[in-house]
Amino acid sequence: MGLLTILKKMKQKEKEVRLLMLGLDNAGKTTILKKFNGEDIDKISPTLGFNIKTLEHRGFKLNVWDVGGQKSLRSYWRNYFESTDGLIWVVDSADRMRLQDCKRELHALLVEERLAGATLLVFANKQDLPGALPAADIKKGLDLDEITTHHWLIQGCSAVTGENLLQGIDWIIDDIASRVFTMD
Amino acid sequence: MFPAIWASLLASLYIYLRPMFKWIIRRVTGKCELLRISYQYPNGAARTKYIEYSLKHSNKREFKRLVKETDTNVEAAVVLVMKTKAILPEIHANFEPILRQSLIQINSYIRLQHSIEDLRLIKYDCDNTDHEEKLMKLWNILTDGEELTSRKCSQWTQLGFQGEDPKTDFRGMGQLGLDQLLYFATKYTKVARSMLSKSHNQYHGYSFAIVGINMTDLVYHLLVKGNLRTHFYNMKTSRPTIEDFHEAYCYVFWDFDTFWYSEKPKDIMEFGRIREKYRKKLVSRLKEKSTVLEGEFQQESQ
Repeated sequence: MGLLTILKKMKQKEKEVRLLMLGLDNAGKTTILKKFNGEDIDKISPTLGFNIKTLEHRGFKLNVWDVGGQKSLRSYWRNYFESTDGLIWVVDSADRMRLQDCKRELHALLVEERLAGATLLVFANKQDLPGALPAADIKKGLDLDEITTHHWLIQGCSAVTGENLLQGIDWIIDDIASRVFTMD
Repeated sequence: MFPAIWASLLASLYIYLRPMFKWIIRRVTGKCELLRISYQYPNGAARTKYIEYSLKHSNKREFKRLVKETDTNVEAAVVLVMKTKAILPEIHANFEPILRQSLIQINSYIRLQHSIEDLRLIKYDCDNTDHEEKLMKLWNILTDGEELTSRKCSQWTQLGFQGEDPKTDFRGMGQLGLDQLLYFATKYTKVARSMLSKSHNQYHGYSFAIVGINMTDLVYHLLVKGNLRTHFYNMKTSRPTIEDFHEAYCYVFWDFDTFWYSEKPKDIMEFGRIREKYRKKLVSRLKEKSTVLEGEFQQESQ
């Protein structure tokens, strides 16, 4: 193996990004993943366990972990924290009833040591629904301004139309890249 | 990798050269492909599938249409094929009934795909009394009439729904998901209740309703992709009904349950892996020509 190959390999390895996608059940995590990957989204069933997808995007290799959100699965979330570069927290913006739950679960994650270095992207999903709260209201509802431990951004989006998914993902990659791949 | 490339290369070469082979064999045997099938194959999925394949790859557009359209008139189609191929019923007496039966089976499968798709496309709607009644019926059957404190409450998780309102869990499978759970619970109450109670095991159990909906997802895709033709062509010479499809679902749900425990999962997070392993197993079973998806518990109830 030549030096160049080794360097190339190292570089490839460097460009791998691990994203963990979490949120309450029915937030739209799997739909976001599939839509972003250009797959059919009208036949999705609730996720038991997790899905993992590796996507190529802008020269990065994204390993996206989409873990089921129902209450009984949340205790397993911690099994997926290790070496996470970015956390994508997905919110059903039309589900006002569970915004408190949503806030509690998110803030519980942010004190986790193994997620300490991760960038946080909040997707205020389902903006296409008539009853959806705008991203600014979700930001207030989740007390995002209190967060000082993580780089974060909230992005209103719709997994069904695909609106703003790219913007969100691009932001989280840029933020991770500026922290992790500064040697490039 | 390489065997796969070779296989697909040979397959496309075969499609390309097929008309030539067919012509040669026809000259030698004096029989067209459809006629040869009727003599060589016994009753069952293999024969119907081969007839379907032959019609689909025919160079006659009106033959291709017979295996694609929902409104095929079977009697007219039989006459068309016999006439075009110049097959005399006096000489080949078995051909006509075999062709008729195959065409009925092929056409019924296409129709079944459409009816099932229609059911799947109906979204669960809380304002639809039919949907709400079915949901309540499901609750009552599976819990043996336990009281539900309110329509939206955490009790639903006892049945293995995700949260307080089962509505959202039917997202991708729509009314089909609900109908199949209810069919299973109603017709095979004992089996369903025992599966539900076992599924409550803290470590090795699973979410009953969600797995049930995932099984709808599985059989739906097998139907759409054509894998279930083996089952239906073997099972029925007449037209399969939506109930027949639900029966296949009941079998798959029950069979998956057995498979799940035999895999000794550490916890529910293994669901994705085990589901995929089970799907592959089922697909390979459906490649065997005599497969019928039916369990003993289904025969007992008849």
